[in-house]
Amino acid sequence: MRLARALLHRPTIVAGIVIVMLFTVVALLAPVLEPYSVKSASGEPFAPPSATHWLGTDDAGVDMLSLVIAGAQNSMLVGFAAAFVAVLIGGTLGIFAGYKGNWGETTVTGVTDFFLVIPALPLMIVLAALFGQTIYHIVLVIGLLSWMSVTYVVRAQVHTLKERGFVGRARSLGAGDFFIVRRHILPHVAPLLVAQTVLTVASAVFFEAALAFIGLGDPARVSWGTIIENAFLHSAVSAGAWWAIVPPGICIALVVLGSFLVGQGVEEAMNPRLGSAHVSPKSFSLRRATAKDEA
Amino acid sequence: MSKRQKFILRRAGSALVIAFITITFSFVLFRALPGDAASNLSRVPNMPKEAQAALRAQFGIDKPLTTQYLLYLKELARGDLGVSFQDQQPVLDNVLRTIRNTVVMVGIGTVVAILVGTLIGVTAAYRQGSARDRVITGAAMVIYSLPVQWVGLLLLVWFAGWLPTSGMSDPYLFDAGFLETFVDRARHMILPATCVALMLFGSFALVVRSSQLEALGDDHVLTARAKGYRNRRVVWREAFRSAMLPLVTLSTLTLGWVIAGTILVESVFTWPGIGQATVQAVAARDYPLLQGIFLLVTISVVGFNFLGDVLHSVLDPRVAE
Amino acid sequence: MKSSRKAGRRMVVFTVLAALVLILAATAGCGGSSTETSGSSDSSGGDQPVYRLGTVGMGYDSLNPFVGMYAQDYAAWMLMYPNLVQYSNELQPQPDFAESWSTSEDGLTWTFTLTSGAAWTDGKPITASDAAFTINTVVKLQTGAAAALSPFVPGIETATAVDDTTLEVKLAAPSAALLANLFQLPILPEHFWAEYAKGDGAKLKTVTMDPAKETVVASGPFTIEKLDIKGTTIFKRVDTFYGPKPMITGYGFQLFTNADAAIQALKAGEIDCVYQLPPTSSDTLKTDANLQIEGFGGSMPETLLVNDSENNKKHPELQELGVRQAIDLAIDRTAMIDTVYNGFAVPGGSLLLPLYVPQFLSADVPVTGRDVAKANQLLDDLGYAKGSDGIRVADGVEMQYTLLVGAMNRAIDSRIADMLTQNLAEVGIGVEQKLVDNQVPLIMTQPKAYTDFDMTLIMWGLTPDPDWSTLISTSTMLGAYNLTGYSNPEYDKLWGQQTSEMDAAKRTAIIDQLSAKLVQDVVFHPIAYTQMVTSWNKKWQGVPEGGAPFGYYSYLNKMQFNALEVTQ
Repeated sequence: MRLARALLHRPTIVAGIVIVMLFTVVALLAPVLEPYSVKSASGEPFAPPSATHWLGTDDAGVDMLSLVIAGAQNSMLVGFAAAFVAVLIGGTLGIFAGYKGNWGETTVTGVTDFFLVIPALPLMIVLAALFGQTIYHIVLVIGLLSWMSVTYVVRAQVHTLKERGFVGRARSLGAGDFFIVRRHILPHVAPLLVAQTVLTVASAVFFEAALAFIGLGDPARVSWGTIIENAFLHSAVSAGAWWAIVPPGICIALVVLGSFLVGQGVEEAMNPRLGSAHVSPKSFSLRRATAKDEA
Repeated sequence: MSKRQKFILRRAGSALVIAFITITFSFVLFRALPGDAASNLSRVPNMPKEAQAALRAQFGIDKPLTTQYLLYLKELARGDLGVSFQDQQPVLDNVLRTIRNTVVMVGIGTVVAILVGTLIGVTAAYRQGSARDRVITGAAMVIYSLPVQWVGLLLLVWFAGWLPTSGMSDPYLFDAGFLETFVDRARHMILPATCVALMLFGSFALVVRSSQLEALGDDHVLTARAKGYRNRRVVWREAFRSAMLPLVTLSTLTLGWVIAGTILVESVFTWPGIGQATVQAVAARDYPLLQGIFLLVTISVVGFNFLGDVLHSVLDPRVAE
Repeated sequence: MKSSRKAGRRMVVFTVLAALVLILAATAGCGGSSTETSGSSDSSGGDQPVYRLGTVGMGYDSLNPFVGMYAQDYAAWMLMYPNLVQYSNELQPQPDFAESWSTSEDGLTWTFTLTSGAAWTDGKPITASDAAFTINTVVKLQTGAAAALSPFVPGIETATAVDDTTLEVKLAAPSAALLANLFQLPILPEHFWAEYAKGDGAKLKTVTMDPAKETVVASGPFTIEKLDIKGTTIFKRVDTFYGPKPMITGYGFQLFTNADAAIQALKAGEIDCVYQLPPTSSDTLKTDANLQIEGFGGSMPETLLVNDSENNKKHPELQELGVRQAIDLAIDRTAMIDTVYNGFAVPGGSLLLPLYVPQFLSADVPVTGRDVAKANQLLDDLGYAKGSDGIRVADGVEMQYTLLVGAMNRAIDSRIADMLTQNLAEVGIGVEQKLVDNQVPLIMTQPKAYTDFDMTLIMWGLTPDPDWSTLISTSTMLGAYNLTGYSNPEYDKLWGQQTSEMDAAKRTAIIDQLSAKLVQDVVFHPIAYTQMVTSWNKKWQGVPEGGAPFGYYSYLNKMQFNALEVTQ
């Protein structure tokens, strides 16, 4: 648990963990925490913050604080679920490519390269329109287009693990591939997978908000993205109702920032020289110079 | 053939393969979508069924899929991307017109982001861990974490009245001289380009900072320092030279991505670019136009990646080995 | 020290240069300023500035009459091309290019006497042969290239130019709604369009209507000066126009992708008028002393549709009249109008507008009042008891329905859907919303028509004659605009009678019967007649306050901008 101790010594990581944990707890306890229903009006439209409505109300008189809490539930759900899908795909492919090498690696790299060049947001828009706009489809769409950087990072890590020699030793002792992966690779990659999950949460929350803004959110559920979209549709900003749009934006920023701090911190702690490679939790999931990878 | 030429050829080959996969993928994708020209045009009251059939025939969607695919490849080879369902004008014209508007705005935003990001990154790395580093990096990260559509909306409301908040130019500026036209365009450019710059500069700053840190530890930089060169000279001349590499990669990658990423900025500032065209095409189920946008954007990303690789191999001959 | 500054300076210089080059490229790319100025016409005295109109969300799709299909396109053509007739704001047919018209005894031949001496913008005369050419081309290509215009020539067999000012139109059967259909058909210049109409007419759709690329031949009162559909399209006044001329020298139509941008532009004086604003923005706009705000129209019914077709196998109980009655009784129309429309709507009773009274209908169709107790009673009487979750069970099926909400109008519709969900929960009916990315009719024209939805919201754009409002519930419209799946042979027969009944009083009596049938069978659940929230700068006078039943900038007539002038 040297890694854990190293992590806790970094104040930025601790701050990141606290932020992400806080929103996760809010998300889990949402039904208890919401002071009013998000389905019906509890005040005048666009009422400013007051003792009864701490964050004011939206265009239909729905309590903003309740909306932001309910939004946490769905935004974090999309974030974690999509990140899980992405890391499951990316992790599997990354380990496979890194461990197998040769044709396995070439195939995976090819497929990953292809997905990397596809402009994610336009494709997400098309797919969300095709699948229909439920929260599960949104999770799938985001997850299916967010795994590429995970593959590259994991593959690189598996490469260095293989170089360390104990894989070869294990094999010479007659261990099967599956056994080696489970016993020797996976435990070493696990922290990286966690870091990637947290990083991907950030991009998933961001993408969900982007899709919602274009009108492709799940209409039956409140998320931070749909709150912003709603404020936008009803011109809340022009109406001077800053409270209808500022809180969800800040929540998104905090989650993105928190995830970013955690994810980047873990990676840096594991491998200081990996730092700059995948800086972007947003759309620019950057691999470390492709050319170098191939060389 | 030199190693570099071989490397470039190999990258070109893989770029072509990816481009072909993209072309095929987009055919399959857009044929799989529900609805077509005729069903969308049914918003016309009274449209007879025969008229719908005629429309299907016009767009070739009554033929078997394989025939459609071959036709699609043939027309693509001639540079024909089909006709938009919505305005029935060639898709290529539509896409080129809008992409030009996007490139100008995003280009300026990106250049500003690179400049600001580099300055900030280098400055921060110069005194790693100092209060200045923390404040700069922290601020960059916070701005970078904000949802871009949200930042755009706030900019729109704050600067409304001072700066134009929608469109590319004042449409009612008749008989204006060159200077007046120029100033008008520049004023319209400010808010959306700023929004793009805000969206991007954080990632540039962080990349430059960390590669700069890495470079500052390199042997030749240490040697330069040992030789007694002044610090700033070392920072800019020696270290920054090596930090250019990831910057180039990120820039070329970003240029491709940004075309797609401006959808949100363009929605906020009514910028008549490719992003707005995408949103409208989705709303109208204008599949030929969507397909054209998708194809061109993807292929431009492939192109930029290839360009990045070539640049990279020029800047750093090691990659070709 | 020096070199670092130099490096920094070099980057700044580079950036500035790059920015300059890009802006220059943009400036050059757009061809600079336009060559012709709107304000430079010779006409004396009353010239008013260009009227700058803004709209939110939906602009033109194309200004080529063979391509465009949005209401805005029709509005533009109404101000560009001659129409045989036009409609007053009270929905009375009025002369436009036709000065008078008469019908033969059997109702099969209509004769129009046209304005003489009218000219196109290129100087060529506008004659009956232009009108005959347009009608015949659309009739000939109605299932092909001219499909977009086909709704405006139903039942027409042929049109003949007897002489320059006499047009004869022959019908297959008498049609009471001929004028109401024909009035939307723009008469196009034959000398321009004839070559495109050859063969299958596929070339008709290639016309761009962009004066920068090709000549645009129109009659006025306005014609296109600068075409930019995704941005601002500018129209200039045609001084050779045959009818009463407007005072403004032109108007611009600017598309905004969001209401905030439009509102800010209006406040900053960059534009003069915005329509299609979100109702929630009215309170802020009212506080601005320079701005006037008004709800125009009240003729677009927002309607809940219930799929009671036999094909809806999952929920056969929706075919029960009692269920539909209960749903209608549960809707809280007043609350919806207060909250969602911010008062910019009136409760609606039917697709037959109050405007049709007394011309087409003898009395208003009454609005269903809310009565939750009665609704519950109706459902109890059917034996649909509530389950443990509060949702009723109808013959073993939970009364849980999918409500489709179209993305196009989602700002309003999703709010209405929220309130509807609550209203229906009170009578034990569950609703789940599903957003669909385009207008609802698409779902219906699919092969699986009427199988996979239970309810939907739609805002109808109706015509000045109830012919179409009643047509959509006939069985000929099944799989197309008959979205509820209503099928009643008796209704179909009555509809056929009204469409060929030339006697106005007798036709009104038949439409009364059609209306009664629709109410009795609860075919629609109208919620409200919605208004178009419009705000303009008070320096402008002559904006048709409170009038304009189809909203300001409508396709009803060519007079809509005639009274506009600036008074300080």
